[in-house]
Amino acid sequence: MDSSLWVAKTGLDAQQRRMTVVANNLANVNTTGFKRDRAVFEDLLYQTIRQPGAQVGQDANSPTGLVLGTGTRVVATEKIHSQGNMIQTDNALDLAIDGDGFLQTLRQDGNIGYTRDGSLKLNNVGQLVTASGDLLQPAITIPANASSITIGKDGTVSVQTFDQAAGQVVGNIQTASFINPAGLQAMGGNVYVQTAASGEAQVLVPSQDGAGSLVQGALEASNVNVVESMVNMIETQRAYEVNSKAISAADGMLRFINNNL
Amino acid sequence: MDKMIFTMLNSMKNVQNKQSNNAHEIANVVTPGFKKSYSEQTQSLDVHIPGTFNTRAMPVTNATNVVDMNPGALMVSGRALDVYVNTSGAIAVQGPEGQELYTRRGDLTISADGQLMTGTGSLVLGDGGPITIPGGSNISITNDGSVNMIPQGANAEVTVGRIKLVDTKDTEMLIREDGLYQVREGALPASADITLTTKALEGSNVTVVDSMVRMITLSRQYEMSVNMIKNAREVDAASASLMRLN
Repeated sequence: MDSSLWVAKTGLDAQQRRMTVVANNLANVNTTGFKRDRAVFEDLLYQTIRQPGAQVGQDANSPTGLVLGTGTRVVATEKIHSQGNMIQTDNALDLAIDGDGFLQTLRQDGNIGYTRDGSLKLNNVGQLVTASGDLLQPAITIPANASSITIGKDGTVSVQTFDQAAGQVVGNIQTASFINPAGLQAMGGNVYVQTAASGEAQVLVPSQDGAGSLVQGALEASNVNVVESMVNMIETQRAYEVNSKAISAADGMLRFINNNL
Repeated sequence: MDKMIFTMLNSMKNVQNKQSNNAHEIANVVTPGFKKSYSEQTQSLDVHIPGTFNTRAMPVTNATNVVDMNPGALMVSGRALDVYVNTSGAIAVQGPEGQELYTRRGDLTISADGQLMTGTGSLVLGDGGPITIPGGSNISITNDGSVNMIPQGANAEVTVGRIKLVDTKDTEMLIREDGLYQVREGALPASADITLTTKALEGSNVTVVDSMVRMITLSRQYEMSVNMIKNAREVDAASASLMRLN
């Protein structure tokens, strides 16, 4: 059958997939520490109908070939790790990272997870955990008699207790940086895990050696830009429509020849 | 048999090729850095057959695979490794046989073994081969194509390579089967005139209105060819019935 039908079908497929990505971004517009996805498009293989340089006469070569494309596809989705807005919450256990880096958590399967969601909580024994209950790594225990908690921008956690005038340091929060954060695998629940593509995690002291600094009493908002997502959605919708027009044009040609010959 | 229907058949085949390419362009209306690469010049070919009229002509389409280097829209993305190549520039990448090829795709990423590559997985070439990025953080690209980052354990930014940018003005770029561009022979020299706009991507250079209009034109042209075949059939049928004895 006419190849343009199949070529236009690849366009419809890819636009459909992109719409899923855009919808997911919009759904997470209020998710703390969410990083938006982008669908990566690629043109499919071209078919050589006539080779460039083919002999077209006794002593003439065709200066160019005839190469026909076969459509498009979504080759990947990638996370855009740009900074989200800071939301002041004034909650002592809320942390935002200003710059590069991820907080490290211990996942249920024993592996280290990485997150930008710093809405920390205390568990029943006073350890710092994420909102989903994963232990922060390295583990930090807040004494039961603490009256206030201070987290410095370099990750030093200190507490003030009722019986002591001087504050005491109970631990240091470290952040992990990756050379290619786009290569991290999103596991849901705001958590990423390391892959071969992301490179090894480099555990750094916050605000040193290019690592981002910690901001206490603030959360990082989702980096989804609603306007941009809307523009993407319109573009996707119109591209879908024009691809379906291409299918109906090819269909019209075939129908015409069937009806008239 | 009337030769006219074969002339029309040829024309219909050309239209189908064009329509297929048109669908390809429409499918890639959002592919970053996509360039149209199909242009056709239709010409007629005289057919001289001894003893008959020399008036028959066959439409022949000479399509080319020269890349149309018109720029696409600039789309600000905010991602550190996205680059838009200004004016008529292109990024040099390594082909499957180690040869130098070109692309306008600026959505760069880092491969699992730390090499800079395009969104489709071709290694980006620097001054001396592919650019390898050591472990570290804070990677960025400057306007002249230098790749900067803070290596592991260091506290200052270093330049780890410079993307080879070439000027494609006055050179015909040909499309390959994998969508990269090649020059007829050799390689283009690095050009200092080509700069990048960072944190932005280039859109496709397909104009939807153009494609839609072409789609309609091609559909109608196809229908005309079909009608001509239909006419030929009627003429044939008429002459056949004329010759019938009763």
